[in-house]
Amino acid sequence: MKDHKTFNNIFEEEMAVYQEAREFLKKGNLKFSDLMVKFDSLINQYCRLINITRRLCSISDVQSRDLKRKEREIQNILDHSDQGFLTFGKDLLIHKEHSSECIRIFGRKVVHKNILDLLRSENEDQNRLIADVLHKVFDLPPGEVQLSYINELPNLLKIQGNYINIKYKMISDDLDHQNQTLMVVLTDITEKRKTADQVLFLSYHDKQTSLYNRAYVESIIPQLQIESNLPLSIVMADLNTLKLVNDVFGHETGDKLIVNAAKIFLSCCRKSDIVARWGGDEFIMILPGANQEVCTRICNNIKSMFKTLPADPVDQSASLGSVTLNNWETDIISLIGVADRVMYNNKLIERKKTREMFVSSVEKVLEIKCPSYLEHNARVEALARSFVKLPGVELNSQEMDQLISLARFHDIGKVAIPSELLKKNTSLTEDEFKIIRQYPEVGYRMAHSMGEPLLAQSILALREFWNGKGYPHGLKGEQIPQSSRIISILDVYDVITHDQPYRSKKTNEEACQELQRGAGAQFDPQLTNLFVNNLPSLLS
Amino acid sequence: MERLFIKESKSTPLVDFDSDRGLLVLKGQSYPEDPFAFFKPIIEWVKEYLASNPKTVSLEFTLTYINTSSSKCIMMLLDALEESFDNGLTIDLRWFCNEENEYEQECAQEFQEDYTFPFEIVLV
Repeated sequence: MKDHKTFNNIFEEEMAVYQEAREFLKKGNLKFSDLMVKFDSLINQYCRLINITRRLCSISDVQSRDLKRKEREIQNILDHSDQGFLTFGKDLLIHKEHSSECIRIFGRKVVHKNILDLLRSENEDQNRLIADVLHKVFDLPPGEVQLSYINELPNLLKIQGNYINIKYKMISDDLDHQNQTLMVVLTDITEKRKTADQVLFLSYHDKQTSLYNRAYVESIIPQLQIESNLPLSIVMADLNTLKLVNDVFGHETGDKLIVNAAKIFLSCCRKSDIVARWGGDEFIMILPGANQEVCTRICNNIKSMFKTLPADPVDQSASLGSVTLNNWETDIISLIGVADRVMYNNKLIERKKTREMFVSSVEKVLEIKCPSYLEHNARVEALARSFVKLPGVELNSQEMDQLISLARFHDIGKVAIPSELLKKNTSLTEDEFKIIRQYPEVGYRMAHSMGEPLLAQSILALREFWNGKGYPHGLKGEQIPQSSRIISILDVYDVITHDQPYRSKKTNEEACQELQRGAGAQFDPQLTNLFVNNLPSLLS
Repeated sequence: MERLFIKESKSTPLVDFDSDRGLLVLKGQSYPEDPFAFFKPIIEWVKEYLASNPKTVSLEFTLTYINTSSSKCIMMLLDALEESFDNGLTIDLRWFCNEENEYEQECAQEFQEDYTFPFEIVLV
């Protein structure tokens, strides 16, 4: 309660006039003239008092507005600082939430709540520490001892599921430090922590598969090299035909293959094993405590799992190489090198089989996309085998092999063309035609990836025209490989004489007329004549 | 007369009244627990100084915040100066205000209103 004496003192002069007037009135028997003098003096004082009061009110109002403005500004800054500011004294009860962030962090108003209740967590040791420190610090004078106690308080707490960074600062409002206040500054670092965790995760994990990455494996190698991990096995795995899949079906499909493979490796390994993506299509599995038998079992499981995968769009497989270490005479890095070499050796051995598997998968896909694909290829191949026997066609054995391969694979690039386009029974739009025109290039890339550069060139030149108006490079005349010139005639003949989604089959005569019309333009005129003139014998 | 010097505190302004130079300086905030107790010796010093017939008196006030009771005390001080001015003393008061704080200026204007001696509001 405010002592009114203070106010009486500042109105001492005015009070003196009032007291004098009262004393005067008490005397009684007053003359009118004396009263008038006193009355006049009172009016003057009253007027002065009104004036003083008016000015004081006015000054006070101005000061209040200024204070309020400053308060608003400070509050605004505090509320937008994304930090919670709390203060409390020796009774440990919160004085005030100095910023709105406090309410957000605690999920409620915390004024008059006990700070120990607010900071309480499941960690009982920590709760005891906070209580001990806070009960002691207010009895200590400011200084190093008090500061050392405050420094013991935890700086990171989980409040309402969020990570809160906490700073403590003792504030003294007076010189004798009797009224010390502890300020707590709370900063929600949950998002920052999540980002940091994510950065840490990404630095040690492969984003695509979520497996560990090479950096992680290299970082833990020293920790793995301990006796209790022996015997230790390492399996290196390389996905087969990934490049082909990427080239033919696009990287999205290739990525799916990588993710599927990662799932297989993870499911076949034990919880204690480390499965990581070593590089592009290479994976590593480190199997602590796994002898050769366990390692072989895991490798067999992986191979079996790959076989159970549905062809999406083609069958998948991986080449594996493993090595088991029974003592630490060799370090893990060298061991990885050994497993890698074993894997590459296996890959070479399995190469032919892998390619056959891939081609067979592609052909299966093509057969679904174009139901007559295999039959068409077989007929073209049969025609090619007969055609090379005609007098005037001089091919050596290598050229013959190439021609037969081309007959089989000339349309393989169509695997990348959407089924709707291949089965379309109306005219193609310009954009659709652009897509269709890509198939020789896809076939070229596939043949290249399979290690068949000559076949690749022939596939690429299948739609080149004798007159130079074909695609993709506008090759002319004998610039076009002979095998391509032959197969383009056989291919077109077979297409004309068999039903297609977009037109009905025609007779041999009609087909020959069509081919002859294209001789010298689309087709090699000499080879066209040879074909047309010998068609009966070729068909027989 | 002995110089009156009171160090500035959190709630009281610096007081530096130098009779030799005829310069009275008040600078800071004023919201003491008991304003009369703080200002009484100051007002008494001023009254005594004015009674000593100084040639001129210059005052420099920089008061960023003054509570209501302090305002009354300052009025008492200015009233004493006004009386001396009426009796022929040369007085000038310069009241310094923050040029970006309109409230400070408004407050100074309230004090300025009722006095006839030179009272300049200086924006800094």
